[in-house]
Amino acid sequence: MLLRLPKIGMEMTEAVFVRWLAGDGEAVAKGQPIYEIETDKVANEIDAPAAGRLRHIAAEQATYAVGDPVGEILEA
Amino acid sequence: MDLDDATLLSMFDTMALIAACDDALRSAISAGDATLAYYSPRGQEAVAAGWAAALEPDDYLVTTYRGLHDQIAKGVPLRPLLAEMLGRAEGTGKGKGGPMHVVWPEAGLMLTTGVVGSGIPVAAGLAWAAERRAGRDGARRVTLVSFGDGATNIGAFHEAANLASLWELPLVLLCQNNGYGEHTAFGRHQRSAHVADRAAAYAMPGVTVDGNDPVAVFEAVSQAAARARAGEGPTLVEAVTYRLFGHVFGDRMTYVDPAELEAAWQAEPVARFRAALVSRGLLSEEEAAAREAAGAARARAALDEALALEEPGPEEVLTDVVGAAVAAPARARRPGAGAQGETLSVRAAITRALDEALAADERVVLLGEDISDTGVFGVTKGLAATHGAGRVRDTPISEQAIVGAAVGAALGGLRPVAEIMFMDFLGLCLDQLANHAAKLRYMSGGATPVPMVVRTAVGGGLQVGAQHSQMLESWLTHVPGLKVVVPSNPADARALLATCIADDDPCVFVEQVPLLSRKGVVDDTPVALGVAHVARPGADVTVVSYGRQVHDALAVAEALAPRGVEVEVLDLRSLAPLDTDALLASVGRTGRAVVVHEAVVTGGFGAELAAWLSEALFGRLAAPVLRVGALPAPLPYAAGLERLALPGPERVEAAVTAVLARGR
Repeated sequence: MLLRLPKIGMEMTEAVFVRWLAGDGEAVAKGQPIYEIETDKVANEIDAPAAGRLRHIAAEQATYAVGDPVGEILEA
Repeated sequence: MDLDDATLLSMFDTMALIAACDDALRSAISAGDATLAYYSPRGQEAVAAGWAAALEPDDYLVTTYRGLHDQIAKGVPLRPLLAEMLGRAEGTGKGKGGPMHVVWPEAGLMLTTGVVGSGIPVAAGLAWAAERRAGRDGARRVTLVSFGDGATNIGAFHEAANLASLWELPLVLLCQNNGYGEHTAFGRHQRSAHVADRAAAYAMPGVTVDGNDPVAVFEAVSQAAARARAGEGPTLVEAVTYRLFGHVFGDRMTYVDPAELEAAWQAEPVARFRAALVSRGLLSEEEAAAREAAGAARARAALDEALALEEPGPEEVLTDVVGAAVAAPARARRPGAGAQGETLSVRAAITRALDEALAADERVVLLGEDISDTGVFGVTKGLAATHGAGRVRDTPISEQAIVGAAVGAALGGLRPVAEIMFMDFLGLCLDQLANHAAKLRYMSGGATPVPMVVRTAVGGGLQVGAQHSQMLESWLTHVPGLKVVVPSNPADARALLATCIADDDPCVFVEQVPLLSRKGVVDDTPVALGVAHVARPGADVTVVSYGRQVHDALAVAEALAPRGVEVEVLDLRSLAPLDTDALLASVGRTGRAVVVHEAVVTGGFGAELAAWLSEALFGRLAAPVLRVGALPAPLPYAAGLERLALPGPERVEAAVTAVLARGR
């Protein structure tokens, strides 16, 4: 499952990808916070939409637009 | 529990399906597959399953933007429901309403509102429509309106609760008290220990139940619905519950004590009800898991289907704003009426139109302050005696409830004509008019048109001060979906009001008080909306006006005629729809235009007319379009100042002369 940068709140168009909260290749549970982003408004943690093995795509501290691929959840 | 096993299992399935749809949506948003502002109802499943089991399939529901659980429980099919949330053409509103505006009349879901509290007056109107129909077929549909604790602090709640109690409407007011109004905890937004305590203020029963127990909700709503169905009036049911994922997706609930949230998860209703059913021996753990898995599969499949659907095509952007044009109604002839017409005042012509509409169509009802007596200007005199106080209905001084109830009555199949005593008071009900009446057709993709009329009196020159005098038609013409009519004479007043009542969209009918005693011949000629009238033909300059100022324009035309100046006077009659053909024909021919209205010039409807004429006729205009209206001040009280502030024939004549002097 490809992970794209979600839209949070009505006005968000992009965000700084602050850091990963789970390692590349690590097994994650559904609902577990896996990365942190920051917009003009607020910092936010994004939960895993499914269980599986996390693959990193996004670089920490880089800025991404809503919809940009940031990671992937592979079959465990 | 006196519910049968099948109902209990069905309630569990409903709760599991709601939780599964919520989970599927949140996952899709987290993965970036869906980009909606999502207000999760997770934690409130038991409330919806409980009330839904207590109602009949054709009972009405009005809910709020945190409404997915209510919508699923009422039986809205998942595919169009999720498609609407994703903005797809197959959605309940063709993708034009969005997640906060789902309707599905087939299942009785008549409104989902995005404005806190605003659904409650609308629900009162639906209940009124149901009550009126009950007189004919004996059955009385119940209306349930669902809202949060935050909504109980807004005027709409209080106005509607009072009206519903006063009129003994078949309404269930269901407060889903989830502990927070947006990010503000219950104890920080009111001092009442329980929302249900507020029922006492309106002399209706108020009960507080455990909203995480579907059976408790079922029992309370069953009693409330039975009371409503028996004609005994409304009940306020407070279901105490919790929203487990905060206000909107992305809300990390940093304002919540972690211990409180942990306790709320311990009381989570789906697991709790599953355990209750297992301990009763109705389900094994395996069967419960299988039922939950079936719900999850259904939710996931429906969401995947919805994600694959197309967005609405570009042709949809301008459809469903208003309905197809309705033919102006032929006059229903009353016994003894003369064939050639009769001389009536504007006041009597309006009364006549209301009387004829009430006589011709059982669906027509009137509501407003003091209207069963005479109304403030005598316009509704005698109508209650002729047509009954149930159809010509007095209201409390509650503008939001009046217009909201009219919206709901229209959704429920009536043709309500509401009276707002003075146009200046539109500010008290503008949410119902601009956010609801005007937008419900569009946001539902045409599923819920709102055929209603708001009559409102106004007019300067009476020395009643700045709060009882102000023409505000440009507030209304700015809102797509509203129709705005300003008659200038008795014949138009009768014919246009009849057309407004027959129209399938919300119309505001402006009655200028200084015109009410003006007399003229009223015949049977129908007048459609959006058809201007050449009140006086002329070749040199067009004065575009409406309402009372048409007579100023005619006086100026008469005064200038001996000097060889031919002034054409165009009476617009309706501002929305606007007769652009007539504007083009008249000003295209004369090449000069003056726009005259009573409202303040700045930002007035004249600005729209002047801009439109300049765009359409640039190069063919011999002079700039001039505007005449009130000076930019609140209307003063002192007679001399008021005369100075309002436009009059002198200012119209000066503008006409100035326009004629240019380009010669």
